[in-house]
Amino acid sequence: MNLFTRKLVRIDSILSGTPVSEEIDIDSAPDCPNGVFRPMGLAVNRGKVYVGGVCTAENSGASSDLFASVHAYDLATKTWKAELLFGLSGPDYQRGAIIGNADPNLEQCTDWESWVDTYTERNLVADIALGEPAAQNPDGNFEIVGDQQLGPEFRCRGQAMFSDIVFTRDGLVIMELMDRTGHQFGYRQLRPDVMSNDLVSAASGGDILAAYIKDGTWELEHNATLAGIGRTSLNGENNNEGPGGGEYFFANRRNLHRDADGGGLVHVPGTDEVLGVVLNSTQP
Amino acid sequence: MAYYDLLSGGTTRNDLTLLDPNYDQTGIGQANPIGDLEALCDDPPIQIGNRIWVDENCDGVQDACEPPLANVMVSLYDAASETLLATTTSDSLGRYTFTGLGTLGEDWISTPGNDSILPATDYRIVLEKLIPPCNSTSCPAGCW
Repeated sequence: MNLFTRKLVRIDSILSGTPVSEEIDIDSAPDCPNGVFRPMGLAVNRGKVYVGGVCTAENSGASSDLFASVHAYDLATKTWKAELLFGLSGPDYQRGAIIGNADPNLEQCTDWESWVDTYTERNLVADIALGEPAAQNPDGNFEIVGDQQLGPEFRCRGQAMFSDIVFTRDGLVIMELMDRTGHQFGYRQLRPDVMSNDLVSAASGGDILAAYIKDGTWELEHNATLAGIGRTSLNGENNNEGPGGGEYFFANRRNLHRDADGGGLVHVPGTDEVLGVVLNSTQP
Repeated sequence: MAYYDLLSGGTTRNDLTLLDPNYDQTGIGQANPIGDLEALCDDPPIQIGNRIWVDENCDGVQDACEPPLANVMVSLYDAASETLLATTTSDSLGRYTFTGLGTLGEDWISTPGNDSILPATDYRIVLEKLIPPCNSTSCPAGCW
């Protein structure tokens, strides 16, 4: 993918001295209300190239303008087909909090939000016990997150990038949404807005989703169930962290992070596992 | 990394931590951790085969001493589209396989997306003829 032109790049004769490339428009891309279609995730499966992208709502859009979609490019016919489209906002898809809390009123960054490029702060949820200031600036872009040792150093805002797709032989599709905020910040970096010794760090949180292809039709997981293959998650129903009110891959909590996925996936052929990059992978 | 279980949605194990798992010390994964993962291998191949024999007592079972049928031309068709995908010939022990384009002894017609045996797909195997062709006097008795 060319993330700037938002086109699929095909390179032929790659092992020759004269490789050639072309950029291919994604003809089946959706119209994105108040935003831009930004593809990134890529997979090749059985003669087709699959591209995943999001509608970013980056032009002053709301969470209800956020969508994710998957498009198939047939290498033989050179045509596109939209295979899957789903919203990234509640109640259809309520993601897990980036910073969870035993007190539901203190959970932070519980929604996917529009893409933003401006650093402004807000503190909608003031967890005073973790050093956060009083509630302030409801229109700020990045939520202030406290920490017992470091104080109010972390920032969160769930900005979905459709980062990866993998297929299994029996028709499962595993998809990963990466949090763009993780790319905008680092760990203990200088602030982007003012000269200060108060450093800021990202608190990022992506999510992992499953779909099943039955008779050519894609079906997104719904409340932790893939109906087409008759499979329900062991422990993800009604956890309020995925499409339809639950999530198939429920074991993506790490520490306070309810959805701790980092964006990369791989399926090792012949196994019943998919490996995902997660934050704090060995923590409970 | 987490090993997600495709069957239960849980995890089978969590390891391969390439960075210090304690974010209080490094925090690198706190922003975004590793970008992508790729496996340096493909799905194990699926084969269709593998033996043609003379069922002398016509019971559908390979019994002891029932001889193989060599030199039978075997064709593989996509059952839905009835497209010819590949041909091969049984060897001296009556054996044949269909695996995929480039497999020794298999003659695949290159069809994008259909160059190997795919899961959850219906195929039709057609035994075309004996080479050299047999007739009523030279063909072995029995069912085959």
